[in-house]
Amino acid sequence: MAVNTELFKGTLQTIILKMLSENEKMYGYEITQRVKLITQGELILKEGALYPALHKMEAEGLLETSTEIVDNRLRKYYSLSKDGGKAVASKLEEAKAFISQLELLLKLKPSY
Amino acid sequence: MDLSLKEVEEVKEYISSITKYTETKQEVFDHVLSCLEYDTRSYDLLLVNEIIERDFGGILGIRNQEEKLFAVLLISSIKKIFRCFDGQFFRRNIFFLISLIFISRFFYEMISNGQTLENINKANKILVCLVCLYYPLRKLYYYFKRYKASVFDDLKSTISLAGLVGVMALYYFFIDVRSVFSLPVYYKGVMALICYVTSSFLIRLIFYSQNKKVIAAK
Repeated sequence: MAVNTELFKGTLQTIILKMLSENEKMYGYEITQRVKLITQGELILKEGALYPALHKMEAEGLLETSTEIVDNRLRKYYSLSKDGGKAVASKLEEAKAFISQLELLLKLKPSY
Repeated sequence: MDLSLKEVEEVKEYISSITKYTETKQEVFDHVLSCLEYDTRSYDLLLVNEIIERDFGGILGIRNQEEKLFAVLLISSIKKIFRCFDGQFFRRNIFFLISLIFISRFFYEMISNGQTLENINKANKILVCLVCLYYPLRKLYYYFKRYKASVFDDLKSTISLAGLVGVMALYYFFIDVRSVFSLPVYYKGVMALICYVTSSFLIRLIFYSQNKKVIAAK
């Protein structure tokens, strides 16, 4: 069953940070394809949401960018900045806490 | 699919026609070409349209993205410039603050002298004319050189125009010899000081945008 993309809007930053913490640098298309691959096509990351999120994170200083010429065209690569590197762990913790609260709230898992 | 040079140029021209900023153009162009490379169908410009519609929400989606990019950059650049106003500001900028005392004295002397204000008035008019000429000329230059403006160009224009209008308004409302509100000279001095500090921050913002633009171009 395909996942409703609205559901993961709030975790988009965390997904991007996690992806980039596992890879030195990535470009937009690569991120969308990696998400598609990991979730076996269940989760489609729309570029219309991805690029604004990347730009926002770059402006906030979480990401750094570099451009390279690949096949005669400019490609913008995103990588974690120092602040971004520090934010990965806290963002993951936040996401874990949110998921466990959601599980309790929706009674997906019995509470002890 | 493998694209010929002509087809790549066609895609580039099309994307250039639907994007406003060079940054978005490059990103959309790279994305579309990456998609096309993995597509097994044969090339057609309709396919490019389909990718843009599917991934970016069409031309409207790209416009929205560009507006968001501009807003994000405007807010973040203002935040960066004003971040210097922290708890350490007065300790760090003691020389700046001392210099303000001398500058206010200078403004006071300047405003007391009607002739100086007349000269400032003339200089203001020249400045406004230069700014009014600069933007259309730059647009023409970009058009003939087939450049696409950077988002930082827009940022610079917005900041400088907003700053110019703001500072000019302050000047003609409060400082000028024929100002709308007649104030005592020392209040005028305070207004001149506000104009000076505002201009200095705006100039910093403009230089910040210019530096960012150079980095983006690299």
